[in-house]
Amino acid sequence: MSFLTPLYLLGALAVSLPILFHMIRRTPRDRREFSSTMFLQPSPPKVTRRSRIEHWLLLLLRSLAVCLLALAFARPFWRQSLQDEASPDDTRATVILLDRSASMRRDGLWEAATREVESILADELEPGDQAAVLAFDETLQPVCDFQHWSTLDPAQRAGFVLSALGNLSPSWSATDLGAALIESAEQLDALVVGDEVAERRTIIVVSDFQSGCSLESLQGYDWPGELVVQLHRLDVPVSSNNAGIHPVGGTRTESEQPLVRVRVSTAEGADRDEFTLRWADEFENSAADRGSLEPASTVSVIVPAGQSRIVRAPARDEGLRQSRIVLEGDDHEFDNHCYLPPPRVRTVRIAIIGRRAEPDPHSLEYYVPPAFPPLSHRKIEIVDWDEMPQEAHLAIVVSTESPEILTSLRDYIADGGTVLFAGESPDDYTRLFTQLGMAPITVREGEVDDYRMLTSIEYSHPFFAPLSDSRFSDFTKVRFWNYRIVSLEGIPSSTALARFDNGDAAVIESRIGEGRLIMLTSGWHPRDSQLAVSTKFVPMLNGLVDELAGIGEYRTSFLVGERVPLAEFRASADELTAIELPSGEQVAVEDGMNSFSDTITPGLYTLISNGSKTTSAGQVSFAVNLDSSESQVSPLSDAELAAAGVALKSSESVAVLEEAAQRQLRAGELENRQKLWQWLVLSVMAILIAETLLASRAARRQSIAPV
Amino acid sequence: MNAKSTPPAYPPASYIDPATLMQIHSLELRARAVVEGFFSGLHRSPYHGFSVEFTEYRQYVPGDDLRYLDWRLYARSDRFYVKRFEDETNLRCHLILDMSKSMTFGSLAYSKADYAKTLAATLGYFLSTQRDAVGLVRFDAQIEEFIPARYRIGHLRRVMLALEKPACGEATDLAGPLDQIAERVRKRGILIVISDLLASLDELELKLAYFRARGHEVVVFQVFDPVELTLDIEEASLFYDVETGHELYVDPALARTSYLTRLNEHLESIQAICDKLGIDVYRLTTDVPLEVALGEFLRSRTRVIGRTVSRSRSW
Repeated sequence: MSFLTPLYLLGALAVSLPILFHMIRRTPRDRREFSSTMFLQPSPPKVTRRSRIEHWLLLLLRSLAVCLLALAFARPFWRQSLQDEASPDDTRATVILLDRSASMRRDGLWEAATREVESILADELEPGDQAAVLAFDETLQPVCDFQHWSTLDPAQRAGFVLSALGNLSPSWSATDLGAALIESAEQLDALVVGDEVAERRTIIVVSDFQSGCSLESLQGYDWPGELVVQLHRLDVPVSSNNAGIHPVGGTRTESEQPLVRVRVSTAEGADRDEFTLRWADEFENSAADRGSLEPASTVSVIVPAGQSRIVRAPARDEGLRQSRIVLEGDDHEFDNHCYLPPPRVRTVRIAIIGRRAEPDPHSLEYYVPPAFPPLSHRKIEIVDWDEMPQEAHLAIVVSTESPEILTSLRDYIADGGTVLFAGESPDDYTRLFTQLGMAPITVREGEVDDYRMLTSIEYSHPFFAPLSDSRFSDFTKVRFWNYRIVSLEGIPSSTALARFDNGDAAVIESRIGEGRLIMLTSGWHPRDSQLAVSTKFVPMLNGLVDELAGIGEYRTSFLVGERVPLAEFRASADELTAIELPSGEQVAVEDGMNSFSDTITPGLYTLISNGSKTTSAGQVSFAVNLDSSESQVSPLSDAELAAAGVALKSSESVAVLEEAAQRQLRAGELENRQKLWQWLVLSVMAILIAETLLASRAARRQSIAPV
Repeated sequence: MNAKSTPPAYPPASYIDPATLMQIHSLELRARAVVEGFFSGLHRSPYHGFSVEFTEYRQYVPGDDLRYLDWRLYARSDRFYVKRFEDETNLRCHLILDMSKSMTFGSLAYSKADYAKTLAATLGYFLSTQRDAVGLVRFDAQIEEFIPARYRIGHLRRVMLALEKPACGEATDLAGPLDQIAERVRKRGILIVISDLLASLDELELKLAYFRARGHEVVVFQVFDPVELTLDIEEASLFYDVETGHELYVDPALARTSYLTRLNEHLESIQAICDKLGIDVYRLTTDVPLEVALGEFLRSRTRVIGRTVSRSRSW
């Protein structure tokens, strides 16, 4: 018999009290009548040799009651073989999870992990056990699954696993420990040994248990109570001085390329906080080849332990294609590189048709060139229409007085070109329509009492898209004094991109062949409107130009293992045929392939178009970087893992305490089930009733009796 | 000659064992059994020939009839004495019975009160056979019942009936009842006090002396239970005083010596008082046959008569 609270047994010492009370009779039960006590003197009460226990049965009953009560308080129970104590015949199934995430690249961790797996195979598995060895990072990869394990000879299993591990190395992926545990639990649950499910199931995790590992998938997962997870922390001293560098947000637009910002984060427990950033280039490893180039500029950054800072990267060296920022100053190299695609400079050619030698400040032409300021990612070339009419991305017609020029305009539009036109009179529109071969359209001057304003604006169109933000979409301050009424019915495949407040079309887009004609029914010059002098004119023209040149917002930085959508890149890379990996290997891109998933290594991935890296848009590339969570290398505590709902079984010295706690828990459950204390209390009550009856009967016998 | 505390060693076979006597329910029958048993054995007693008929002289007091003046005694003693006839020699005897709570104590099958009542009935019956007037006074802290001494038909029956009433008294007080008796008993006679005298003796001597001064003869029968004289109790107990209600934890083994010392002091005080006043004190235990008490009483009467005769003869 065991006791839950054995200290209460000391209460049994109170059994001496009834005996003592028997021996010390201060108030004797015998009462004797006497004629007169005038000659008697009282005697002091004492325990003498002649004090004797008269009622042995009463004494025994009272002593028994005290002892049973003390026993009840001690909460006795019969320790029986517990259900969770395994019998030798129980089938055991074990999953060994080996962490191969990027954080395992730190010095000695992977080797220690493989040694740990080897020792587990040798010491903790029996020949009759079913086991599987699975490697995990963001996904689960089998090294030796259950099926393969069962087909192997027991003597060969360890050798096979170690051989497979020898061909394995840490990946660059993040750690999704939660998903790995869930998938392992499901594999164990589905495992059938013979005709039964394995009775003892264990998951052994070999990992560095860095705090950046993801446990989110465990939230809400009902962990099987009988499934125990055993954590094997790697016994390798690893420095906690780690800092990682990662691109900010992971999404950059090409228009933001000149401003390079990165995030530097340090691990908890790091005792260094000062680091340097610099660009690494193709002369990284060759000081001689660098030649006369100036030393790469560096930026110093201070980040306290457990925090992160967003800093501006140093400027790229002029003339060098630098795509990698290196962080220096910590103890671990694996997360010290941030890849960023080099900036591309697009050349956009614009043809202005109807130019005059001396632009008139009151003319349409006057306001066009200033609308295209020079940008770092874009170079505007105003081309001569006569020399390269087909090379222009955009043709802006400011005058229709030269019909011969307009003749080539129709072919330009038919071949996919875009023409932007605004006339100063109805005749301008008529001449244009005639040259474009459109049916005669009546164009007349519109009536304006005071001024017109734009309404019903299509902000989805690239012409108005830059102004779609509510901060910029107010056109009420742009007034129009003159405009032409152009009926859409006479223009094929036309839509009104904007209207005046009286409903007349203000901006009309007409699809002609492969191209389109964007027509403003009012001039942007001051004689017709305030458009050219407003803040809207430049963004409208540049939005159209960027759309035509393929300059837009799309991601250029991805994480390891992330699927890269190719549609955005196809638009700027002509005919995409392959993608060059950071290793130099090229992966072919099929016609129907919409995404690229072979991003297993951090680095710069370059699009190949018809065998060439250089496309019409320049060299197009995207970067793949390490997940910032892998830089959080401070160890995850068992409590955090247990808080996620996983039943843990530590392999460290804590197991002793846990075993004791488990034993106590089992003892408590046993006692709660048996409830022996209730029977003891009932016995005490019965004894006390018997004692009361017996004592009253004895008292009646010895009640007042003359001598 | 004063009575001694211990009775003479009469052959026990001739007397009725008190325990057996108490089996007789009727008090009068008990008394008759004792008296008749006593006198039926007299011819074997050393008091053979003892006469119960006696005469006496008494001193002449002014007013007495001169026809009964004994001139010969005057010639001899030069004092005037009047001859008492038989009818004048009949006693007026009052049985003064203590019926307090202390008398209810008893370690035998009967209490001291039962023994005292039987003794009183025996003496009363005997006196009645002698054509003496018998009266009864029952007292505890005060007189509970007073029957004046008479010799007439039915009077003894009345006394017996009064004796049979149970003792329900409270504490013992000697002084008060003796005062009341002194007021009510005017004529000289014998006062037989039957009590355990377990009370304060502060005014006992004064009250008894008053009786003696009035010419009464006083005989005291002090009745005890054998345990009261020996404290022969083994177990320590809580002793409960039946009169005062006091409780004492007493271990007899420890308390016996002091108890006997104090008891004997009390008894010696009583003896001293009685000796001083010429009162006979007979100490009886309830296991002593009543014939002994009767015999002692008769002896005491004989001594009284002898003293009276000798005094008259010595004149």
